Amino acid sequence: MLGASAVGPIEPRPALREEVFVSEPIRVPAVGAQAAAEPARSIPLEFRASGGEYFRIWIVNLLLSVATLGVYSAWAKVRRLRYFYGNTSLDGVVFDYHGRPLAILKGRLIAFGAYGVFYAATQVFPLAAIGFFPLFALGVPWIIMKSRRFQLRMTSHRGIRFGFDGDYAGALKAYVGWPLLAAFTLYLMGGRMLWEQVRYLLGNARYGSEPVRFTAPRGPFHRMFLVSTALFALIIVGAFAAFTALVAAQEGEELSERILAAMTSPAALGCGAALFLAWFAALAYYQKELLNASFDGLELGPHRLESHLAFAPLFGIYVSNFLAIVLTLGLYSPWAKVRQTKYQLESLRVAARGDLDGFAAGAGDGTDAIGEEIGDFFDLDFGL
Amino acid sequence: MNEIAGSLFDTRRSLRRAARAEIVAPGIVRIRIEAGAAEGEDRRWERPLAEVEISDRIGDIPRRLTLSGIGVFETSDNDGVDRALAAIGRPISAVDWLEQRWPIALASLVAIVIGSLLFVRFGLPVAAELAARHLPTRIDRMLGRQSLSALDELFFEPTTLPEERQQTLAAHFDSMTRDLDGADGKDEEHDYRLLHRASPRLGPNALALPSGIVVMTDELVELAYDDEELVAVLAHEVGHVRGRHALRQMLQSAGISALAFVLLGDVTTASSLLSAAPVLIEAKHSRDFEREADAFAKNWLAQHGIDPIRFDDILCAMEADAGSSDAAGLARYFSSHPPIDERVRCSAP
Repeated sequence: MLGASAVGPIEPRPALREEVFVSEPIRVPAVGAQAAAEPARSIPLEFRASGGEYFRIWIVNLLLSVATLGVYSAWAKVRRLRYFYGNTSLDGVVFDYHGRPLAILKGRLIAFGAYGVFYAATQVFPLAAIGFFPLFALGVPWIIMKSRRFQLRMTSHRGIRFGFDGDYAGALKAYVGWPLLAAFTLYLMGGRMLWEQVRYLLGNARYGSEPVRFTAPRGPFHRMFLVSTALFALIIVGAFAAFTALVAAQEGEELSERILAAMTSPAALGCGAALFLAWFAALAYYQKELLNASFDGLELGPHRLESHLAFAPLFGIYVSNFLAIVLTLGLYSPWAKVRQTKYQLESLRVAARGDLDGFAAGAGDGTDAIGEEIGDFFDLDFGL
Repeated sequence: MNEIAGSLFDTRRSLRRAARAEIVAPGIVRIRIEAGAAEGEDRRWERPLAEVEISDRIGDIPRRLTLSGIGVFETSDNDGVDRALAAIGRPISAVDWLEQRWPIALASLVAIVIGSLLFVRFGLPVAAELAARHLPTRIDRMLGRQSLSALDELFFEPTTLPEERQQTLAAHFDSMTRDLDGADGKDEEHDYRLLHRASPRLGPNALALPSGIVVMTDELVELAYDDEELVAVLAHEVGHVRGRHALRQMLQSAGISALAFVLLGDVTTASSLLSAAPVLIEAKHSRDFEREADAFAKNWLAQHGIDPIRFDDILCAMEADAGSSDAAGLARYFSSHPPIDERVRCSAP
């Protein structure tokens, strides 16, 4: 079943593509003499959502979701994604999301049922979790493939749908094969694993009938993986060392008394704050490196994507968002999400050669393929 | 009639052409390309507005008018589209109307907070009890199947209680559980058994597994002044089994997870921060179960000619032996048991 559904309904593409181009001699988006002739024009992505507006949308839809015992959440998801896509524009044209609430509801019900079975089984037989492991290992890549396909197919720009041609074998390699290999090499191949996964998610994407070219070198992935692993390891070791030192410095007979005293001492507060900052710094470094390495150099026809995320603004957004969310008991979340999305999206620019008019739609992209709706299953958020 | 400016995409190519939409007759919309039409190509089309699929208004994002055979007309003129819709008597989106208003957003927030609190405090326990009543007791037996060996490994050592003493206590326990069965015939499926273990780690204590197994530590047997006190403790533990507290606890946590999923599903950043909430709620539910078991024990004692004060006595003795003062301040909200002075009144030692 898995193999069969992995073959997408995209086969007859070349024929239709020709048909489209015959009707009018528009620019064929291929890298060639024409593309090199024109200088690149740098077009920024713009994001216009407002935190207050998103708060109102979020809270009203949340109430409706709760009041309908979660059924409305599928409609809420479509409104939320359409709000974010519809506020993201490139060259004056916004993106759009076409997911159908009923399809998403169906996916959620299946996911909820599957989770219920798993939860009940592990409550009654805790050892059953081990039995589920091979099922997860084979199932997760399939879910990733389906989710990605659904996500991209439901996205459009300038009236043209995106698409995803990654197959199950590719997902299996990227999400089971490479992680296993990375584990066997004590994560020396961890960077390669990340690169393979990003290549699977982005390199198999297409806009209309035009495939995305993933040209990212592996070097930055290796560096980022090793540096972030070292940073997070240092933070954990540092936290442990600071805690041990604090406990050792306390006076008292019982160990539990000393731990309690250590945790309430002013020095612990300082250590906690330092750890918290270090944690977000490592996170900001990782996110900045990953997004830049993934998106910078992505090519579509004669156009090229550039990603210019910087460490300091991202770090500032993480820390201030976190503090504001804590202080407002979560109510700041919509503003936080808008701020972070705005910074991440507006760090992207398209170096365009010529205009963006020349892309043809892929075959059958307008119609919903049965089965792909289920790809919305576990509502995966790739962040890419 | 005013025109609506926008862009037309034919959905076969990414070509954008400036276009205008206009209501030319009641319920008829005309789309006109301003420039960029190819030689011999149509420059304008007319369609009944009722056949045009118009996307819902969300915030101020551009609207999408899907016209079959023509393509997609996209416009930022949200108010213009709404006016055109009003003209043919199509209602505007109710959800959008709600989303545009701050008072409604704040009212929604208040409703969500109050509703969630009421649900967790009152709705969930009732729902879990109802659900448990419809689930077979077989589940209780499965729930406890692997717990005993885990507990033996972690906390228990073999009992050193004389055989004779064990038999006396077993007789008390049997008469208690037999009587339960006789009372309404509802609880024949729990496999009640009393086991003894030594546990220097736990000290004087007793606990019940959902299957009906009650474990009593040797330390508790030593601490008790007489058998009536031990019977009182057994009645409390039987109250847990008979009330199916383990199953109900499990159902309630599932309910809390479902609520958290609905509340936090869309905003993942907040979820990590609120991870303490389920712990607090479950501790609260656990304290409710303790109170229920206390009430069951006292009621049973009273019905069987034992002064319920004996339950207070043994609890106070256990508390004194543990030597801990009650959890004060915030810690009491994390506690699985209610504070002792709320459960029973201890005379000064």
